[in-house]
Amino acid sequence: MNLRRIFIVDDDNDIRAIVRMALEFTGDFEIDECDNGRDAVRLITEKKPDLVLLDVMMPDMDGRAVLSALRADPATADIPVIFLTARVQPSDIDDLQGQGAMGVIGKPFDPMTLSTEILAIWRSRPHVKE
Amino acid sequence: MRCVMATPSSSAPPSDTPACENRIRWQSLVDNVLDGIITISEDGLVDSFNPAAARIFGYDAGEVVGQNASLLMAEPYHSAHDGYIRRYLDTGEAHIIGIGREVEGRRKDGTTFPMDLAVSEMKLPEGRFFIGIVRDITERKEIERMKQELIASISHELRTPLTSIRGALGLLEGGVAGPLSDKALHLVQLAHSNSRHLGRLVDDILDVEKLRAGRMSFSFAPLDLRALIGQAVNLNQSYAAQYDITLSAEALPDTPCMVNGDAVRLLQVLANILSNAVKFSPAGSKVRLGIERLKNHIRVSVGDSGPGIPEAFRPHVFEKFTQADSTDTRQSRGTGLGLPIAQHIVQSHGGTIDFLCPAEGGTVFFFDLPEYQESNP
Repeated sequence: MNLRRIFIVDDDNDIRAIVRMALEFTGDFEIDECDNGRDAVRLITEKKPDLVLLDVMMPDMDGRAVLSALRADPATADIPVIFLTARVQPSDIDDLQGQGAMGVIGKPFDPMTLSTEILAIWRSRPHVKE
Repeated sequence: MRCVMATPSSSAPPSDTPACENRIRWQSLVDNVLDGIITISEDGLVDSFNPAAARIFGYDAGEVVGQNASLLMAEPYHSAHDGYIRRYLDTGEAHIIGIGREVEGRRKDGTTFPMDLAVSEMKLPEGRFFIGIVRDITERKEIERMKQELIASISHELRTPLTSIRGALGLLEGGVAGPLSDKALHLVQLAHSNSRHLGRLVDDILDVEKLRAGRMSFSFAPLDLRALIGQAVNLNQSYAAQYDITLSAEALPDTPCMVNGDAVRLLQVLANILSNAVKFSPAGSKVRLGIERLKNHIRVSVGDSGPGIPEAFRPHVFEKFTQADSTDTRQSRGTGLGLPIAQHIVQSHGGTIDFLCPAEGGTVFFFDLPEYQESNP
């Protein structure tokens, strides 16, 4: 399965804009985005993207809660999630991966290599066949 | 309140003797210090309780003297208190006695609080006593907690705008907004490079704080240092290219060089050493990485052809926030934290890190790690 439709969830407008621009410039992706966790769960359920890029620290419903909600619903349980986070301590990364994230990308990231990083994580999944 | 010396009143010296004067002097001292001083009998009963202890615990001395000292402690120390004393008296095995430690105290109103407790033994003709010195560290703990929160918050609050700044500059430099003139590109590259530097500074400051608090975590697993060197070259090659330096892994052994290590942290050590080597090397030169098998250890070395380390600065290389001189700090834009962090990481692997300044010039940094053996990891 090719990675095409990516859903970005981040409460920071600037970061969403940069991620969108970087992915659109460096890869052939369709991008959707959302600035809060609650709407994200609804929109992801509706749009069923190939991958979710998810911020961790967001007001109201944070990234962990979004991931739990997605995993709890059979319709979204298998949608891969990569956390985009400023919390990049090894213990944070282990914790986030332990929650069922496919990968963790730290902020700040290099926008020109972001799609490569995402694809590397995507391809490392055992069941993904290009 | 009785004298802290716990001298029975029957044996108290007459009031006009030097011994009495000495006793009054000590009593005055005990009554006025800021730390709580409590004497306890062999039976675990409070024998004396100075005014500072009364302030800390909220009891008057009269309410506590003669009571079991465990009433001043929260669980699990409360239940274990008599056992500590008994075990010490029977076996000499000390859990608290003679060892300062942090425990949880309990006030008269039932609230608990963190305290530093130092207990020592005092032998008098009428028996053994224990002197407990107590300091309420609630405020210190609160400051530590706030500091940790602040640092976690700094991590997030600095990284978030940095993500936008670095992202925007990276996109501009990458041509997302169209081609830039040479001058504009140069300025964007300057800003981008400085934003990366700021990111490294945030990382280093967080690491130093983790070192200070003893909270740097490691995930140890057997790994081949040859592969790690290869990764380090790949990860740092583009950085070296900015300075027109080539990274070259040379003469790697044919057989695996296994150590029990944390790959991420060891890559951090190599990145810190390589960063210095690159910054101080003349453009167009090579930085050489090598591996050497020593007796029970494996040595990883990074050699540059820079100016070497000034003699006077050599003893300070692994100290925090130091650079050979302020000019170097500006020119090489180091944080002065990379090498102390590297040293701590290597030492946490049971290894050592050092450097050589060969007569022919340049500097060779190296670290030795214990070789991993299946039977003795």
